[in-house]
Amino acid sequence: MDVLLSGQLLIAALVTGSIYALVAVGLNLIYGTMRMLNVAHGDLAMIGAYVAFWLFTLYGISPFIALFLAVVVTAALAAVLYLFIFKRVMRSVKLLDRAEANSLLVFFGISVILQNGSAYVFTTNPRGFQYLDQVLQIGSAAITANRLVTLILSLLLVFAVVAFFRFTMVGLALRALIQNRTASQIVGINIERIFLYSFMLGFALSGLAGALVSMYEQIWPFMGFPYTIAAFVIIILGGLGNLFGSLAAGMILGVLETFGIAITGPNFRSILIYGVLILVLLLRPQGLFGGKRVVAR
Amino acid sequence: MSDTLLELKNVSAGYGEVKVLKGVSLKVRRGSITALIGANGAGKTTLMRVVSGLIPVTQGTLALDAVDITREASSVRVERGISLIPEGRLIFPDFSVEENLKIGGYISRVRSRQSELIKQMYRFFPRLEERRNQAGETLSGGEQQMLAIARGLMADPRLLLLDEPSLGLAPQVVAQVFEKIQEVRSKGVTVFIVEQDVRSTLAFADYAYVLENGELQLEGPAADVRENPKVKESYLGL
Repeated sequence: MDVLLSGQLLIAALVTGSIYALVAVGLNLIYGTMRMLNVAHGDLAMIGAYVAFWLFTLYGISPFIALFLAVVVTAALAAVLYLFIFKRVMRSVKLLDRAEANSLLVFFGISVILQNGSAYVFTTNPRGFQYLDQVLQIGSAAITANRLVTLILSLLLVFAVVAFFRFTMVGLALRALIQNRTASQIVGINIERIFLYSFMLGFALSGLAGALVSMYEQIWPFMGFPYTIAAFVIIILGGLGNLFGSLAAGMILGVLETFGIAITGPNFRSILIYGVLILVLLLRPQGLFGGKRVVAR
Repeated sequence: MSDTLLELKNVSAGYGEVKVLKGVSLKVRRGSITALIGANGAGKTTLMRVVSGLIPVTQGTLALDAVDITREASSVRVERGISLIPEGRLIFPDFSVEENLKIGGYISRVRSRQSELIKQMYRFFPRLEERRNQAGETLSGGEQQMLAIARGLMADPRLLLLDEPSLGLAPQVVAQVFEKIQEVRSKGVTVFIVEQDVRSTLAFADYAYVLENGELQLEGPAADVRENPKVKESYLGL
């Protein structure tokens, strides 16, 4: 019981939660604006983690610098995929009607390619590196420096994302597009450009999260899948299309998972996460904070 | 500067295999209120959506101020000065009144004047200022219609397209909406309006077209169209 009250777990929960929030808000952004289910979303975190790993291992570059490159790489991947595959899909009325189901298949294919491509190039050996891993003592809680910095950075990023959606015109346009596609066109929003932005931003947030966790998690080609699952649970928990909801729900799932594992055991992680999903679907399918009208085109 | 602001030449359009508009040619005079009337399913909304760029034409051309806009995306047309107030209003339900107005001023031509335009809208529709922080979906039907018009005016249009602005509103609210539309015209904005309330529309429009099954049947000054025996019988119930 002492462990539960020690603050140690709270910090761990906040680290997990803020990373989850970053990954999930990107998934929800792409779903909200384009009605596409990115099941490869966690794999972008894997890409980001490898970017940080190789830059550190080969050139000794700090992961805090590498994360900018992780952003560039994942955003560029998003731009290529959007311009060569998804833009065409979105232009065809026939395909658009099935966008949700078709996107699931396309993204599943992308996920398989990313995972197995990484396995081929990087091998499936788990990798890791030591950076800022000295233990700091904060009151009764002990935390490694890299986790502390990750916590601070990811919380700052969560606030930056909130501010971006709230106070910038592009953020406003993204939220408008989530609510109604036709109305967005009517006010003069170039929706294809906003689709591209949401793709790039969504991918980049996942890549960035991956670069951050690379400092303390094992890096291997299949590390992304748990993030994909967590992100899907979070966007359902926070409400589909509700961006602020998924930031909050990310923190909530981080807390539930961390404390849940402390009480039960690491083997229960999946059970806890799927348990949350099932409970939400049964009790509050619209999400804790209410979903947006994501069916309206 | 020619007298014609909007010109459609032989325009056909539809949804997939269904052809809704069949070779429509019409002109909207600068500074006028031009009305398009017709029965349900005649293609009025389709025509409005074609002009605003939401639906592509399958044949024919559109020109704004003698510039061909046939292949231009809706976002470009808004920049050029065409604003649609759509059927069903389509305001952003989760946005506050103020956010709805802000997004109305999204295009780059007006973005630097956004806050000034919002103030203008509040002067024009004082009710919206009272409700500025309320979510769009919590407004009454009439207020939502006012918000939809204000959102369209935020883009500082030359041509305002109104698709059934009276739909679902109480008669006294309809009168208010029509009053505002006339005020908009008096500020130099050309108005092209689709209405099912034929009687009131013909009372304040300058010119009118009658659309039936995707083809124009009749046109003329609104006063003449009102006196036309066929219009009297079919639309005015006289």
